[in-house]
Amino acid sequence: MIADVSLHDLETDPKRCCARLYESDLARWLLDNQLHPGGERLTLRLARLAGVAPDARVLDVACGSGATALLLARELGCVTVGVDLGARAIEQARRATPAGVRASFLVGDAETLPFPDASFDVALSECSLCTFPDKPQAIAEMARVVRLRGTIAIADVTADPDALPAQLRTAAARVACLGDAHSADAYAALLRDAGCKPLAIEPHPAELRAMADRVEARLRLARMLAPPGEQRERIREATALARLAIDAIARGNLGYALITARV
Amino acid sequence: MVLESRPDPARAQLVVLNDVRDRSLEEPEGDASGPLEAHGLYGRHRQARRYGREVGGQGEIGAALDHLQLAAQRARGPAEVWGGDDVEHELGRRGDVQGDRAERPKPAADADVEREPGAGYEGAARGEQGSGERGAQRRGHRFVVHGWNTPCVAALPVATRSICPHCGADLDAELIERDGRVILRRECPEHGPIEALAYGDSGRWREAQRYDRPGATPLLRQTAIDRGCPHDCGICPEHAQHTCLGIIEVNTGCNLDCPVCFAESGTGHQPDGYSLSLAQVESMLDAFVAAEGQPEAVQLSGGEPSIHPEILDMLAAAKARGIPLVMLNTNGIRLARDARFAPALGALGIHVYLQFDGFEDATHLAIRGRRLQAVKQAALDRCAAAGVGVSLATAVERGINEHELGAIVRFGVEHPAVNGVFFQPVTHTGRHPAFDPLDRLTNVEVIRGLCAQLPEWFREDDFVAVPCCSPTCRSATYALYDGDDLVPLPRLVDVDRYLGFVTNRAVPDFEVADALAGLFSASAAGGTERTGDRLECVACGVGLPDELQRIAARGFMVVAQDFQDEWTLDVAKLRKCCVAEIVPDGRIIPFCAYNSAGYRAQVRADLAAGAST
Repeated sequence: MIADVSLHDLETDPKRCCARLYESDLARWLLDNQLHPGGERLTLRLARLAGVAPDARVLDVACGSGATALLLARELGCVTVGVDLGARAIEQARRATPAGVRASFLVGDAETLPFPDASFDVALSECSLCTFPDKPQAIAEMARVVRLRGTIAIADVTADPDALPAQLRTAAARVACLGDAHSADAYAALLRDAGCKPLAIEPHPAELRAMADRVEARLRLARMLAPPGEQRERIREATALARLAIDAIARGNLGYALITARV
Repeated sequence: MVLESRPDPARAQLVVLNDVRDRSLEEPEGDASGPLEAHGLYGRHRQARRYGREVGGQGEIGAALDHLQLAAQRARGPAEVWGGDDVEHELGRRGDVQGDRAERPKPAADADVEREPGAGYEGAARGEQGSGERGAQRRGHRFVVHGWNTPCVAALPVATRSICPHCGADLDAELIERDGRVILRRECPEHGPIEALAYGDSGRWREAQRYDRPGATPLLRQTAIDRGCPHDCGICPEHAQHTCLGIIEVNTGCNLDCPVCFAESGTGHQPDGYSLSLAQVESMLDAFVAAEGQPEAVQLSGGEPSIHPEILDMLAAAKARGIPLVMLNTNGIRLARDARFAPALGALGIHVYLQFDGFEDATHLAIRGRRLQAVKQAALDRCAAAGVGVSLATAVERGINEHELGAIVRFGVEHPAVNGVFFQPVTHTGRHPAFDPLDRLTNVEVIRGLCAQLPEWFREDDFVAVPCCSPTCRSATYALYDGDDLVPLPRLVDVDRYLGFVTNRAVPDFEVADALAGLFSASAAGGTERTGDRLECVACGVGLPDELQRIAARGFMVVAQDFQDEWTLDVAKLRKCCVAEIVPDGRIIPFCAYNSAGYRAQVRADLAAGAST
């Protein structure tokens, strides 16, 4: 499944490994180019919960190839900045930015954001907080670069960690956004610890389910297309992982939530 | 969600266009001649994209400009600190915007946006259901590209007209919701209240309505409006769809006497029986060509058409008229017994629509009156040897073969000749067993039954309501099978993006290749500069075109098709019917009207009278 990423990377530098994985063609294909559940609809919902105003300065942490930053700039008329650890993704995002859309992109680390304090009205992070190894630090950084009474908006996989099967909690599952997911309350607690006031928690498990279904089906097709041998075996393992995730969603142990907090 | 702050429907329309445009950004420019372009529906999307880029795009830029001044001031602070090329990039782009503003005309008028054909029709069709802000939200909710998530807006009850199954009287009727199901209800002055199950799940019924879309117009209307639907068929000016599949019943004689037969055919002498001549069939084919221009599919049926002495000439006559899909609807007895028949069909390029009801003796005896399993197997093997493609056609009846649906699909995907299964709930017209009209099978029960029997392969939402006829008439899925696993296509792609693959066809297997091409197209891989060879790494380094062709060649279609009878006839549905009988005088009569509104008896009587004079 993880075509461009060696397991060595995964153990030594999971953050970088993650960024590279989501740049990969295979990941994009498996996810049908929708790198987070709910697609644009939930992105716009998150922006609305965060109260993004037409001329707001918005930071997208772990922006990937810029879909969200471009969407918000275009649809809401805000000024967006996207930061991602993946240089290729940033390059893609810049290329995809049409003239007149006020979005810019740069390479940077979520745990040491390259901006001065209070640079933004809103910082958002979609389906990526769960992959950060040092979540308190990432949230502290978001809180730092957002102005007082600005908003932090998180969209992420939520999990009841104790109820998840062991396979979903391994390193490989972490880059698939499942392994290190917290419960929505735990995310809210992290925000509170960073001095923010949680505003809203909105669960959307059906959107995660739809995404997991799509990935599972595409893995099965990939297995059909792959030559017999090791590659097929790896796809089969990934498929099994996707099925475990689907089961966990059905049981309510895995979900997706939009969470906002005031700085 | 953002739309709540933009209640103006015209603005919402812009959002639809922009959403469509987004996808175009993911595609290379100048690929307009790609394989998907040839398909009409996709062409509409394409048009919407272009439009979105030109009109919607300008609108957005214009809206952004309104805020530019203020935002530029606000952004200046951090921008100065960040430094580097990012900032120059950003500032340079602002300069472009200013330039654009000077050059470009104002965004097009809202009215033009409304008229745009690709993006607007579904929203417009639903427009009357909602008003004000809520309506705008729905319209902005991207019916065109994200149908699965679209909230349902169709509401029951619905007024329509029907007939009395006992005396044929025309009656006002309504579709009502009861216990989560949809019931067709009317009252005959003579026979009292009449109810029949119209669709097994009201939620699914509402969902299916989303897939309704305007029909196409036939080139010819052979009859005038006189008594009103369903008595003026031919096609009359009220009919709202062209004919995808034309059926010619070449005879009434058969080599079986099935207990279930809507055509009331048989082996014995029939006082009103007939057998058409080749010349008659040719003139009927000509009438079909005149009405359709380029017909898509024709099926020769009966009776049992394979026992007609001129059947091969008739099939050849259909092929000679350039009809791409020519089918023979048969019970398979001649295929099994006559070793030369399958090769003859193969040479003509004929597709076989094979009556195939299950495997158990009890099933065969109840529906066909004879044990036919060996015959079916032999017929299929001969077809496979002759390279003849086969669709299995299963008459499904409550309490008889409902439990064999999964086994039939499993058998079908394994057999080399078979490329699809059509499940047809038994129509209670002609000869049929006793039944309860409120406990009959509809597509819902058929699909649920199949999913319960093959949970590892199918679930209910793998089936898409086919928008060609009324969307509750036909649901279909297309699955990829490699001898081990089976994956339904709707799970792999956003079906609404490729609605064409089940659209506009009674036998919807033509656009699958396009959907598959789309699955691996540049836009699916996400980059802006992908080419065919780059796609290799997407699917694990496999040479895609060959592999895909191999898999697509083993693709498999499953269709549930609920024809109407005297009990279930709903005139509103009938008007959208796209399967029709072609009769000797050149009229084209929607199949469900032909069976339930007296046309069959009338045609047979006319032919018998003509033969005796």
